[in-house]
Amino acid sequence: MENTNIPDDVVSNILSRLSAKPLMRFRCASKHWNSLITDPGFINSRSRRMILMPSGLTGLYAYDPKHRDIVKLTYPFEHQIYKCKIIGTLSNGVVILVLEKHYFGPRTCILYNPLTRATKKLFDLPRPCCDADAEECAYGFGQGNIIIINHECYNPSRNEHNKCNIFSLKTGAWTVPKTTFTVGGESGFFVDNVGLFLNGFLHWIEYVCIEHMFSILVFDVTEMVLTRMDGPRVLVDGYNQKSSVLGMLHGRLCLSNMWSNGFDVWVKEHSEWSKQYSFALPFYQNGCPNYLDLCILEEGRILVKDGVSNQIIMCHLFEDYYDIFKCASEIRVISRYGIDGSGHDFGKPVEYVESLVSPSDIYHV
Amino acid sequence: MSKKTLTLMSKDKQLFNIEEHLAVQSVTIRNMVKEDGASSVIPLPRVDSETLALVIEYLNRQQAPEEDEDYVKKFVDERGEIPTLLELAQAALDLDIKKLMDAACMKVADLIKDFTLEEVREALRIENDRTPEEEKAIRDEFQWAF
Repeated sequence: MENTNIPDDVVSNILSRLSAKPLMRFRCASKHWNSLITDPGFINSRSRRMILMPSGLTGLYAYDPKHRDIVKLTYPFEHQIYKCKIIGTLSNGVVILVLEKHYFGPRTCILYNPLTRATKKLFDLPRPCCDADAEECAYGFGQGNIIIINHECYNPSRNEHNKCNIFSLKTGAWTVPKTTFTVGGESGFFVDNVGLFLNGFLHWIEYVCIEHMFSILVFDVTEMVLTRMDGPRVLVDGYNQKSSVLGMLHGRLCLSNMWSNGFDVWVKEHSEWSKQYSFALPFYQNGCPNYLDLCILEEGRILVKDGVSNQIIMCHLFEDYYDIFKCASEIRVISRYGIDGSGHDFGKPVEYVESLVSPSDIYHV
Repeated sequence: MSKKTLTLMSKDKQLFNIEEHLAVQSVTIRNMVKEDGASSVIPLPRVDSETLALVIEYLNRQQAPEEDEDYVKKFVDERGEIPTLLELAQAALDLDIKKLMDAACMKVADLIKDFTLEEVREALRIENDRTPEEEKAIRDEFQWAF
């Protein structure tokens, strides 16, 4: 037989164009193919940038914007999950998830690789003590620490406020911040309960009940101190605050604020907020648009969900154009706040680069 | 000004003429021309005549740069058989014609993405050197991928 061996360069080139499912399956084809696929250089050169989207009861979805491909990922559990939040992304393609098995049930925090679907359990969290259906807990990840702020009910008799706990991925140890802090007050809540990490600080939008205003809660990860800062005027005024997300633009903190057919982006520069971008989305002739900004990605890309047509829109802020991605009918992209009547909220999507890194290699305490 | 012509020789000793300015889309040929003027016949010991004829057809295309991407895609689409595409990819590798190589590999990836293990082994001439136990271990770990 002539030409039995196909050169590795050709095989690697072919394999690099495959999505996760055939790629993992073909590891089984032969030892040689397995070694080609698991070669760190191969996965790095393939470097597929994906967006991970949790969607209530229906699951986690991996969306490949470049190849316009969307895949449903199975949860790493046998049972249905009521809620899933992505609370952090490690640079090596592993994400940190908090899974809630049923309504107000116990929560588990895990590491998850969306390419290999390998998991590693980090810890269990107690069920929230507050029985109000509020955004009861805030999460964040920065500098190897997972920060959890329990938004428990204020207990006047014990003068107890909210608790903040910090988990180190490196040591597996728990610590508490140096200062205690009242978060939100009696019925305050987090608008965005996965924090944005920037320059050593985590940021959440919270509603401060006592003061009837929205502001930004800030956690200094190095000093382990909680503080609060003002958001842009649009946030403080409380206008349409539920449709605001925090993000990063040119290395600065920013906030997007949705209006009926588009959104504004406010940027914080030298401790001042200013409106720097306005982005228009398609106008609905018949009927009301139902846009929701989901997250702000790198390079000025903002992901917006169109609740009417069930589309995901990738807005390119700097180039002023957008891409529409129509989801398959089985994929219902549920809002962050359950306003579709589903009651199941939708965690903030994140971007990650596919890798073969094993969660067990990251956390082995 | 007369156009200079180069001669390429396939592994089955067939000769193909091509104008030099078109042939230098191949980085391999471009380097040869730079080094010694490539006055003699350029041998391509791993490329058969059928494949070389395809490569020559590709190099001879007259496409505006903005239409080129579509042309390459169409070119490989029309030759949608896996064995042909693999030969083409290997020739493009040897001649260092990146666009053709990428398009041929993309097409193969597209054709095999839904293949079972047995199908992919047959199509890409892979010898199964896994023991049933090893295969089962991977199947168990990546159940969702099968």
